[in-house]
Amino acid sequence: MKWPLRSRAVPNADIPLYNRFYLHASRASHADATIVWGTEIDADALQAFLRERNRQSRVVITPAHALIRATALALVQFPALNVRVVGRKIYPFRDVSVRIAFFHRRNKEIDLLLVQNADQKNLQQIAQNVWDRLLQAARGEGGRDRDLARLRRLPGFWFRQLMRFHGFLDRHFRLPILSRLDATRAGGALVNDLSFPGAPPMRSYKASRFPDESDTFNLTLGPVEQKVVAKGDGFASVGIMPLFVRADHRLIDAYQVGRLLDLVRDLLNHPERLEESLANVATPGQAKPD
Amino acid sequence: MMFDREKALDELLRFVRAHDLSRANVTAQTDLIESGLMDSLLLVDLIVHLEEVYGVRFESEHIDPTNFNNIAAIVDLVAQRMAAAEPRLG
Repeated sequence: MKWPLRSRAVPNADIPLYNRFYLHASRASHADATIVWGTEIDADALQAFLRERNRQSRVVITPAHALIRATALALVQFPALNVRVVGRKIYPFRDVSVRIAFFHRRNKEIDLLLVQNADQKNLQQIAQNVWDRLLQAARGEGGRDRDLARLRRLPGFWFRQLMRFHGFLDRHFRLPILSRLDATRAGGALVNDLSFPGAPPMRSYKASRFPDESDTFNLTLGPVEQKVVAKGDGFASVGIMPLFVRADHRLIDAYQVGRLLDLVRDLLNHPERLEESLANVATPGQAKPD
Repeated sequence: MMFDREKALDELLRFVRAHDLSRANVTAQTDLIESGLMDSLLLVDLIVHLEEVYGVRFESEHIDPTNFNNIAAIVDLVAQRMAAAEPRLG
């Protein structure tokens, strides 16, 4: 049995008052603690880096793998976001693990996979992890897929009762991982790669929050598009990708969201830094290595 | 099973072009990875399709960029996997 959250909650004295204001708001107040911030990254730099890496790598590396790595490095720098709200308390996760949503080819629906200890894995290891799970899902192999098939067969009434019961326990108590299906709860960060060929330009995107509130924050990468920007004395066409973050005001404020997003953006704009050790990734606000 | 390379090439080209409109002009030599046309959805669909049609199995270690950078390379990989899977008589 694995406990994804640490046993001690963040002490009240360490939680900023404004965050506590949201944390203790009654449901009747309809307070919306969601913060969304969108920015752009330099797609040309990321694509050039991936092209170069894919010439040398033994496994295909995609923008999704770069996003997982960047998110993991950002979580190390911002431990305040590697947490989960349970009841009115905030518990830190034991590990830095990142979830990614993917299209389950066989079931024709969205599923999640968890990259455990993503901060300790390099890009190739992350890619290998993700491909293993995608192939397993596409073939309908593995315990999780058998459990998903059982869950899908549950009649509506029983599905609702099960979800309500599990949701109640999960929102109010610090639970261990109970089954293969809820193993993805071991990470509070969820990333989406919506940069697939043929995707329309993305102007805004707010990822929905799971009913069990297990996803503390979300990072979504959108499709590449060309944009004319001022460069030197003239103009140039550059490729950009939108990057959106959805965060929770109970845990973090807009200033911190902006700094976290700046770090992820910086890592994706200078993707060679994704291969540096944790110690070399600059804390936002500090001087970054050239 | 006898492996017909030309037939496999044609069949795979049709599969990739039909996947979505952005890949309608793909040729056997188009670099799918450098051009950004190979995303995870297409790659997994391709692998499952190849497994179903040719009865060979791929693992994540086969998802090497040199194996999947164009249709011709993918066909070569299928030929290799089929040869490796053939029972050795002897």
